[in-house]
Amino acid sequence: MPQVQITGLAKRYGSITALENINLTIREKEYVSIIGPSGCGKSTLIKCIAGIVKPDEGEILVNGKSMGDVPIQHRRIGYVFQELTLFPHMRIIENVSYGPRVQGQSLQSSRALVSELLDLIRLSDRASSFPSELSGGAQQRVAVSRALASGSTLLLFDEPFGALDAKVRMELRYEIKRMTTDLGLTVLHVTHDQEEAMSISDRIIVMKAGRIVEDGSPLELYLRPKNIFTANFLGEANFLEGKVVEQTPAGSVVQVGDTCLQTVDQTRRVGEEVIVAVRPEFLQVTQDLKGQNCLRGKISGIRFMGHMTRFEVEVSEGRTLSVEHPICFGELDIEPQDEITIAASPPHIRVYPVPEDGLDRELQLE
Amino acid sequence: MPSVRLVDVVKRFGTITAINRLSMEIPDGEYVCILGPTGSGKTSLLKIVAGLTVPDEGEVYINDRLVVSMPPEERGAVYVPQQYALFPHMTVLENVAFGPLSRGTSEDEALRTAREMLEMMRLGHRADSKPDELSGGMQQRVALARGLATKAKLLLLDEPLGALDARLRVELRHKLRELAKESGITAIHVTHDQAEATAIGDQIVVLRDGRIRQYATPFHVYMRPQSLFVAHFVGGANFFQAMVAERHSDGSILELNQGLLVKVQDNTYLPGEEVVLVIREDRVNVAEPGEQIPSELYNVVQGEVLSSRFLGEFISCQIRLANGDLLTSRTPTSKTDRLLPAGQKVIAHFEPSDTTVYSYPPIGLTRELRVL
Amino acid sequence: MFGILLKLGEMGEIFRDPALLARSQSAILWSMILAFSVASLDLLIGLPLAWLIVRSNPTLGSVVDTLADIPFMIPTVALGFSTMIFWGPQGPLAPVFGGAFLTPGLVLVVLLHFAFSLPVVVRVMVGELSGYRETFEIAAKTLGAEPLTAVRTVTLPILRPALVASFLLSFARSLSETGATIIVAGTFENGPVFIKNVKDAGLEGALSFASFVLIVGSIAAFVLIRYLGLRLRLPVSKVWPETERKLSGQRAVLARDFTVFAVFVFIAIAPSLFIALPSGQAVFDGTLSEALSGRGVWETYWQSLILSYVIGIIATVVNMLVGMPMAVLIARKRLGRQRTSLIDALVDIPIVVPSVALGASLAFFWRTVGALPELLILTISHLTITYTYFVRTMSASIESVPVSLEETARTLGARPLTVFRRIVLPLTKYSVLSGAILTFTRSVDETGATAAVTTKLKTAPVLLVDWIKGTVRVSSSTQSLGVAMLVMVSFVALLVLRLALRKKR
Repeated sequence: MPQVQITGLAKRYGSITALENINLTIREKEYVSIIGPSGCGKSTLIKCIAGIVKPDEGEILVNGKSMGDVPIQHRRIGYVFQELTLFPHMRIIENVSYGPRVQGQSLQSSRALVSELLDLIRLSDRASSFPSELSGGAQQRVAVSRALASGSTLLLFDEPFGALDAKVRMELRYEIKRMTTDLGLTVLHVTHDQEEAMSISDRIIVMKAGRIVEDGSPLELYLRPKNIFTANFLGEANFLEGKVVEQTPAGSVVQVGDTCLQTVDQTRRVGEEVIVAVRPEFLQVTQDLKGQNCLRGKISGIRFMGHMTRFEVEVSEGRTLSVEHPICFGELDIEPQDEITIAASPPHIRVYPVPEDGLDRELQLE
Repeated sequence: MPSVRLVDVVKRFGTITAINRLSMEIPDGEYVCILGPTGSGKTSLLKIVAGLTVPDEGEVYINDRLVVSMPPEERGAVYVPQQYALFPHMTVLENVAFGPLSRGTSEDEALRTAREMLEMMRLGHRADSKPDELSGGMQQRVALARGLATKAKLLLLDEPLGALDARLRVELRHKLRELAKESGITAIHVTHDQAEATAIGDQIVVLRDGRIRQYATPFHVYMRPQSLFVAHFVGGANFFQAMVAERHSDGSILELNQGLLVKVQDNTYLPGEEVVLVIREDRVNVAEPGEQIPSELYNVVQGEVLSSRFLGEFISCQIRLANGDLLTSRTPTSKTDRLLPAGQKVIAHFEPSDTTVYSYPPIGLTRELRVL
Repeated sequence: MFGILLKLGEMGEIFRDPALLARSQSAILWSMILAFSVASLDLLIGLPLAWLIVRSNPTLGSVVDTLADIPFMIPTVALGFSTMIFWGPQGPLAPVFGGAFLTPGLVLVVLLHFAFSLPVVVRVMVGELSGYRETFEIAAKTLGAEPLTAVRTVTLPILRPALVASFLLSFARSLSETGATIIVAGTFENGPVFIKNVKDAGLEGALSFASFVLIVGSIAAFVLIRYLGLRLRLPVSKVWPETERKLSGQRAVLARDFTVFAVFVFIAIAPSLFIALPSGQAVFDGTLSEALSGRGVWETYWQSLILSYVIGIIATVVNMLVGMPMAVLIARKRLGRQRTSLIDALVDIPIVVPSVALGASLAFFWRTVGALPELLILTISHLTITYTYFVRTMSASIESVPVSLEETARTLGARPLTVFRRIVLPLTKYSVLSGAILTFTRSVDETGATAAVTTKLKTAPVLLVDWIKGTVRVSSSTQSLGVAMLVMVSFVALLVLRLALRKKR
């Protein structure tokens, strides 16, 4: 049975719709990330699951049981906040054993579990310290153990690493992922950081303005996003306007400016106005000027960054494309104003209908 | 002539030394990123240049003038803190006009300059809004407009993108640099995010515990990190404990775990010395058996895949090498989007020129690299 | 800061009279016991009341919030008088009990002190609870804690500094209050009552002795309570899941809210407002026209009232000018962390030390040092007593203005004075108003020090005490009207303040 099942969930604050028609299923032991820009409703969603916020409509089933009016303290769902919420007046060991204690267990019986968890996060030697004596990263590790000690198999993370340095964030996410996988836990992890979501999730749910936009594995969403917002949100993309001029068995051919691009799209019709998206890393420098999907242009801005070179290419009619060239493809001998040819293979050229509200509004991040 | 110069600056807070005899020169018109973990002294450094903190020792020069005793309002250096510090009781327009007004410009003139700045930031239509009515990205632009309106030539940015979502950060960081370059000002941009510093800095200053560990272009900081810390902090890398076996004029041979021999370009260490070998994750090539590999004798190692992760632009692979060491490789998705399954036998290889070597740290490798 | 550490003049004569000595010791002891009990009761009722205001439905919350301020808005002399007649033969309970339910004495003093210190506790706790991050409590609940358990084991320990602070404020107010206590004390004597009595009897030695002990005692009590309060180990490890679940239930919460609200209304609010009845009568029975004509006793009344307001205004203006720089100094820790804490503690002394003792010591000092006119001594004592109010209000407010705003403004080219004028002041203007009004009303309210200092001049509250205690014979409707008119100005001033702050919030 799915561990979490949500149907028709909705939540409004006055005239603002925080959540609208949310339907989703989470299976046991899945690590699912929910990403989206600020204000998209991702925090509200997990707060509804935890019981911190009461939804206006819809149903939440956890392990088959309806959460209806069940208060927070009876849901047995672990929650880790973005702010540091270790109880400042209690030592680390008292914090971690809080869950078992308030549920009636004696200190004795919970001792084994608590020390095992402290070992797991390598903080056994800090058991008697107070939270203020620990770094932010250490405090969040304790917060996760504290949630685990209370006996939950479902964990909800609300941007847990948001307040930490980039480097700490990176190491912490892998450690927590390892821990939750080893212990066979189900995790719903809310974040605005798409790199974080992709690196540790089995599945990613993309949200925007209170709705679920798309749902899939990191690879699927990155390489074959079905929605234009997803395409822009999960990584950088160049957008070009074009028109479908032909449908071949391999896919549509889209005319962009003077060039015709062969794609693998099967959904658009001939004559339709479309938007074409290509990620900067899939635009490759080529010497074969007659090859498929070639675009000629002039280089206008180069940055040598060590692990890659990033440059801008001005193609016809003032359009500028960003290109990323990883160093493993060989060093580039280029200078500004050089003429260059770039190309992309058909599967890397994604095709979308023109958004109703216009491209800028559709892609808006805040 | 250099725009900012610090000479032997020291700053202590109680028993903690935030800035430890630091000297630095920033040329006019450069966009310099100061990169370091929390507590490395980056904010103190910025505040010393701004005049908001007085150093205990050392000299500070702005445009070759000694400014240590000069109050902040006379330095011509605008400080923008992480939360932007927009004045909540003033409208956007009043905020932007504040600088010129405080410097004695007439009200008409100040408001005119303010409107111009807002137009440049495409925020003219929000001139009468209050700061809390604006989104994070817009607030940042107002903060920048407010700084530029004073015609100051030095911009001090304290984690300017820190308050924004990850995706927004990537989108806006280039605009920050563009703005600085177009206005012809010198910018000092503090951050803990190495991807950000690498993407937009002309130069990067890597700071740790109040001292400069490296001051170079992003390319050099990445390719030739001067210390283990820099190698670890800027971009992903593999670290191996090793001992120098042989030393030649064109490089050395290092002995790793279980006698694995590796050829490196470095030749500064003597045979018998304990060292650390560093190879960047994206300099490791992973080949499946049967694939063509260079016929070099060294630096080709058998291994087995432990796990593969899809990271979007890259695929990261954890490999257990034949000698027991763990190796992480990073391959661009544009080269291959195949996730190698656990247990897959592979061959890892890398060039001697893609390696760097450092002396083994006295406190041990694990402790030196500890971030958490 | 001035005048607080003024030393007493001579004393010592008291040791020659054992009976007097015993009486003074008993009075001071009773002061401490009374203050401690009242503060405990205030916390017991005030905390749930503050909870009701912040956590329950917003309309009910703001109604109770406004009501909670009432005992604070009325000068204590008026409060004392109103309380006395509420529980007395003219009150609502009289018909039930066939006469006065409570006569002046210890019980009435306790009820009075409870009533006028309750708003202090509620104010502080509402402020703390509003700013409290509920995530701690929510985190506790996600770990399985029932609401009551979560509050007991997490929220209250975290709010401990605020609980101790409000306890101490209530404690200090009870120790210090003079005017109203004298009215309802009857034969009971606590410190301030004793001091007033011996002063009237001309026993200077006893006066100085009692003042000295009271000053030392109150500072000692303060330090002790603060130390213990912050360090005492609370029983947070014991949990009773079943019981606490029932106590967190809707019915239990309703019962608690109802009880607390009933106590609040019946013991704090109704007695405070009861003065409206007889003063309403006094308007119609001719006393009002008599008052307005200024004949007879009313002549001295108007003089006293004007004196009160003049001193009040002077004290306010001077304190604003002198207190503002001090507030900045404390808020921005200009002299370094440790020196600022010291100054902080010193600034608190006028509140800690009972005003009557403070007045007495000030009077002694200035009389021995140089023959200052009584008016000046009076003004100085009012200045000293109200200084803390303005400084505290302003420094808290300035502290809430992020330093980064000032820093950025400096780098944009603004000189420090410009920064203060254009950034700090606009953002704290409500607190300037708030501090000024608090200072003014506290000065007008002030009875203890005035009673200790004056021989000829009487401010309005002191005069009214004489009227009510019978030292000066007046009709009861004269009393009522006199008290009511004093209330008017203070009430209006504080109401204006509330409305102005409500607009900001």
